[in-house]
Amino acid sequence: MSHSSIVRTYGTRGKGRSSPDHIIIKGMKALHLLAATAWAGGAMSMQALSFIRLSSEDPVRVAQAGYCLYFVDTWIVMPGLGLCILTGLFYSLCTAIGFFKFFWIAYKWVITLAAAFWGTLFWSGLGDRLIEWLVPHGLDWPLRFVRACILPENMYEGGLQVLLILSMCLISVYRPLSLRKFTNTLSGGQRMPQLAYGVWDGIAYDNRKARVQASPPGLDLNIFAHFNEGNAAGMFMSDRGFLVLDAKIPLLWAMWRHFHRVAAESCGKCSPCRTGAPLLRDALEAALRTGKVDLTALRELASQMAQTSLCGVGKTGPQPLLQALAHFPDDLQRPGTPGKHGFYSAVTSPCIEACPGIVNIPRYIDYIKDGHDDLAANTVLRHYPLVGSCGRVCVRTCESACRRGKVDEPISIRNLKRYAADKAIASGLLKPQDSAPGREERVAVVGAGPVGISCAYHLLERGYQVDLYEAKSQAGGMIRYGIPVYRLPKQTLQEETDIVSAMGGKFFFNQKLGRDFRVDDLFGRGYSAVFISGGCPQGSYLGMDGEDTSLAEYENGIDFLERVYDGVEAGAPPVLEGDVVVVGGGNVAMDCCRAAARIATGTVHLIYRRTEADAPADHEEIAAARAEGVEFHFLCGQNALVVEDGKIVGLRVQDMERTEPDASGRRGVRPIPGTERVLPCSHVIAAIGQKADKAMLGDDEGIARDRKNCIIINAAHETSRPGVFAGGDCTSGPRATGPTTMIMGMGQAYFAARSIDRYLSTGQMPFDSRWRMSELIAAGKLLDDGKPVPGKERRARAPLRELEPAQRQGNFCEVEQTMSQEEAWAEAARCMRCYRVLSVVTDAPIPGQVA
Amino acid sequence: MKASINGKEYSFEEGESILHVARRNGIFIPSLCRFEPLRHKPATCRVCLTEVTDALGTRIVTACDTPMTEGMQVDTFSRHVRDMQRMQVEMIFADHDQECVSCARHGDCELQDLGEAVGLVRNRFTHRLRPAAGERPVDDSATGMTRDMTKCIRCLRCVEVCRQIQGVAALTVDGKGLEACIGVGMSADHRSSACIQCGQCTLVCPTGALAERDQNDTVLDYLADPELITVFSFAPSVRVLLGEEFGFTPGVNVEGKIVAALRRIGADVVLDTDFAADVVIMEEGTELLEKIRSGARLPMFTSCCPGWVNYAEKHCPAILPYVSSTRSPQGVLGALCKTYLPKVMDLDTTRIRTISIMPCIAKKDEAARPELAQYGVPDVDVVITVREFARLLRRMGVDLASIEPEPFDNPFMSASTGAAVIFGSTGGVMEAAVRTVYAVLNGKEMERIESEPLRGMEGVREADVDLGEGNGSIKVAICHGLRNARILAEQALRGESPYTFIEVMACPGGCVDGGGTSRIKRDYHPGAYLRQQALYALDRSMPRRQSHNNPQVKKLYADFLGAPNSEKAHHLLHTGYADRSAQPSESIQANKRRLTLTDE
Repeated sequence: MSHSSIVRTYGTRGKGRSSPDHIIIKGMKALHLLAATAWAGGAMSMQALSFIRLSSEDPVRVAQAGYCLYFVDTWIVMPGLGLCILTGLFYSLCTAIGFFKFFWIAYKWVITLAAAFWGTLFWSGLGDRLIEWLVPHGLDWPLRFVRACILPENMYEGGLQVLLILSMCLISVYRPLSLRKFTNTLSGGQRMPQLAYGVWDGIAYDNRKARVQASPPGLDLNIFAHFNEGNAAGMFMSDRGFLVLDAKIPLLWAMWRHFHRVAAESCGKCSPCRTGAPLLRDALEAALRTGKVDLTALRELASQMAQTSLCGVGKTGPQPLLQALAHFPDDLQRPGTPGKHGFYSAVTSPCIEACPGIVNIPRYIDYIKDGHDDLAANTVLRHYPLVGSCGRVCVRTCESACRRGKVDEPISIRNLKRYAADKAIASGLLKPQDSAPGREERVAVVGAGPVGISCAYHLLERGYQVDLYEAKSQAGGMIRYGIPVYRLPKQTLQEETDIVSAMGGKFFFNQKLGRDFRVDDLFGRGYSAVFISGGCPQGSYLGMDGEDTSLAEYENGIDFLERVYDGVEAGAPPVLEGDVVVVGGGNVAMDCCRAAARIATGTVHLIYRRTEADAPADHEEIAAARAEGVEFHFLCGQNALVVEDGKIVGLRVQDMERTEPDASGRRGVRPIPGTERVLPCSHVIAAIGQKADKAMLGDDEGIARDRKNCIIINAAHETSRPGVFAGGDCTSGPRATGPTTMIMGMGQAYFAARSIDRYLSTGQMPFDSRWRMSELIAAGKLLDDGKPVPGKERRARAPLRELEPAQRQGNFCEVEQTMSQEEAWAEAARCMRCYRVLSVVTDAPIPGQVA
Repeated sequence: MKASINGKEYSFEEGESILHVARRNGIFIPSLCRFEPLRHKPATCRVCLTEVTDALGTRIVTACDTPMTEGMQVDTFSRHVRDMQRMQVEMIFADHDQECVSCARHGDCELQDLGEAVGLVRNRFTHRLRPAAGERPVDDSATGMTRDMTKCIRCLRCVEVCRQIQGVAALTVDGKGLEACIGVGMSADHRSSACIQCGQCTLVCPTGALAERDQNDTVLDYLADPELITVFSFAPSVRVLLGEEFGFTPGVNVEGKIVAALRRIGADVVLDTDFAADVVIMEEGTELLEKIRSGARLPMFTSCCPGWVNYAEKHCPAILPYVSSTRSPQGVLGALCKTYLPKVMDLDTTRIRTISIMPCIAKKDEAARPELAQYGVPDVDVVITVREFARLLRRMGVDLASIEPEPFDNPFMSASTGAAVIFGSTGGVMEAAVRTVYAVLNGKEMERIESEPLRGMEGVREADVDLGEGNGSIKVAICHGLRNARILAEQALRGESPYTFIEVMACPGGCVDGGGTSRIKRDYHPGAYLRQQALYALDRSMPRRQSHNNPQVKKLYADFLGAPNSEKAHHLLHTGYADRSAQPSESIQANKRRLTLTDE
């Protein structure tokens, strides 16, 4: 746990903070500092005075110095020391800091009490009487020494006392939690992680006896410097091998713990993993217990399991052990107990890591294959409630990482999720259940878009009472208003919002933060925490010279889509007379041009300044738009509107060409002179971006925002104001800046809810081992194996059936159909289950982990 | 394209798996989970290991799902490969029930065969696994079949046949790790699940995990009790099926031997279910004509297949009003055995025990239906499948091969016709019905008795039936395999069905390929055609080929029932159905408890 967090969370008995205590804590701190200054300053003055007394010839000066010494001692040092003790007692007794929980506090107490004791002893004269009493026994010399330090009698002993006092100041600055960390700190920061021995990608390294240190190329060992703060990772195991940075960690024990996780993860369908993993786990446990390691048996089992297993768990789980057996059998047989090490295992895969919400993708695909549509949907429901919506509109970064793509085509992950949602949630197989809150605390969620709904869902699951405040008249946010119903029918979204309502979430519509209420009002209404997910509801205009945004036919994409939504909802979609030009290359631009294609009397054009390959939109969307009659103009940039009589008659455009690659290898575009022309049209829709609403928050509310009015958050989703959290498009933080994607937002909602939960229940910020592991994987590129996938039969991916383009004209019926049961089974069978088990052993126990 | 196996070069097509190429060239690679007839290749057993060397190096792969590539060198039985195959079988056997001796598949088990095929010499890992095989669930809640997961090897063939052939998908893969096995989804147990007990899964299961509920000891109890009158009967298809259990080729008619065998073991009365099949035709044909005349809801679906009835009740209850109310031949026989037979043979009804031998597992479920009992006493007391009957005969020391055949001799309920015999094949019920309906309408027999369009093996067949001068023609359909039944049912529910009468058999091929027939290792109904042809040959050889010409049937109506669909006939020989389609549903929170995730 980070030290700053302890300091910040001082409260009564460490249970959480409340405003009145703050004043007391801060006041005490000021007093303590004053007292410490008095003591330390007084001691240094006494040293100086001592110098004068000892070095002066003048008896008057000597007497004066002596008197000053006495005065300072009595009226500055002793009171200062006494007050230090009193304030120290307050902190140790009344806050979470305790007496001996932390090294630096214990150190200070020992020195302070010793100083108080000896100081009083010698100041009062008792000490001298004690010395006289001890003289006949010859044991007076220790007391004499101490007296010399305390009074001080000479520069050296006195200097020793000053040094001790100064050491307390030093330690109060560095605040090491344990002695080891203190030595680390003094030696100039964290010790640089060094590889002691290990095997990585098949190559063995042993630096214990080697003169030249070697480590795997391209792997930055600094990522193991700390798992949680102040806690280094001494060992790491994965499919690529194992790395031992702290040679004291017993290898056999670590392998056993790793296998424990591998065995727990085995799905049980193929025999080598189903039986091999528990046999190996038990063999390792027996070896630990008896001290006898049967290398041959381990080698045989591990080798069989790794070579013949069906999926990633069985194939890669035994790799650390196999490599250890091959290259470091002696270390395996070396006895040793683990001591107070921490251990954490994560099971992940490239697709899971690519998902901002770390949804367990292979698991739900498995459940579909096994005939459990309900459990498949519930696997996703652990991460967010919007399963069907996500299954229709997610940007699916997982599919780009899917290793099946190395064989034939990536698994149709998003469509399988949609299948599970439709079969289990839409059909009523899984019902939302009315549940009563278990906790008193109430949380306000601002913005009932996907992020707000997800955060509310997680908090409701944990028993909090949650109210959602939504500026519009219905829930759903950008995925209701910004995604046309031919992509996401509102029925799907309604079923998902109903889950939140059934769990007790209360929706308040037409309540806009900034306009109808402020954050203070929420706290005033009794909420213990606030989560802001207001999104970026304002569409950006193109910013062309002299553009007139007040023209009715010049719209930004967000407003346009909302207008279309309102019309479709009312049964009377708007009509766009004439040709339409949509500017942009992202998914919003696709939504705009495809919606426009359904309501425009003329042709819909889309212009984008870059190439088609560079367009960030889902390329299946581009294909669908083309099929629906949208004409695409790539490498075409906008210059100005052509307006006549207050109406748009065209858009002045210019062709672009790609520039040379810059330092980072990316190419820009520049206009080609002489290619200016006018694209005739009567509507222009700008779909180039979204902005946060400046008016949502005031500058006086204590919530810091960046230049683009996005709320600044840290990794725990805290804003600068205590009790206020934020996530989604409207935030700027370590995971994302500004508007990104729905899944990124929902992933943030998941972690934000955990933060809010910890904040309200323990007052301590959580350390999330799973998230930390994801960070490690990303930082060290630990999952990139780059190896081809040999020996699999090629099978094409199941495409979704969709309405013929002719059937889509003029209506907003859902274009894509859910897979059939047979298609889903066949597609799910293509998944290779690329699970990898990654384990770390840390110096100390990891917070939140059971040992 | 060319590659080598064991040093010899072979040519192959792109995309062929190593196993496929090897088999094609007569090279044996042991395998367990794959099931070629269903194109089922889950690759879960990991037994078909081979060593391949190609551009990427040398490695061990499973032959069934690894494509052959140009220039690949495959080794199928080096010492290394054999050792790994052996270890693989050791691992499979490690979490398998070890008591072969008490298992019904002892001596007929694919896992035992595999031990032999790989030369298993030791069994090191058993007793070391926790949880042990014995801790996996045994579900015998269903009336007809048992699911003993201590013997499951996770080949997933059962899941595949239930999905692919029947479209029922009642079986799911549950649990994880050593507890992974076959379950029934969200249902509480097998009885309340979506399973319709057709038993096709028991035919493809390589071990004793899925099996019929063995009721031989009940039968033996009846035989042993001198007070009881045992009335045995056997289904049309049984006579061409039982021989296979005793080493005969498929399709040998052993009717006489069965009669003799039954008498040998002490049966008091031996009847022929074929007789009841003729009665069914009388009833159902009359019912159909009535429906056509009165303009009632059409098409009418047959009701003799209990798998289909279970399917309609559990999966498609909207079709129930279309299903004929006539009982199945077993149901008819049972009713008559407890009413007509005691009357004409002067027997004490309470001492009668009806035992019917069926090729079907769902018949066990049918016999237990409350609708087919009178005052709590079931019309059919116990049903045993062909497999059970073979075991029963062996227990009683009867060798079917050497026993001399004997004819039926019961004067009341053992005569039959060719129409009854073909009930066992897909299309047979329809053909039998058509023969009688035509005769009733026209007063004379059809000229062409055998109807080519109604015969064959396609999943859905249709035909135009000319009902004679002035009667026009009707369209009829035949389907087998429930996946096909759903297509026709949904068509009827949409009001788009052009058919008047539809025959449904749950098992592909009809009753001759039912869930209670002989288990054939690694194959799926290889004898289907021969069995079907045997029935047709039997039909051709019989003196009477129409149900209405059965003299004992005529006597039944004359002396007891009056006329088809008479009030008495209706009371005894017709039945009703119930909507049993309640789909389980759960709250999200309750469902979460079933998740077997380990992360977070």
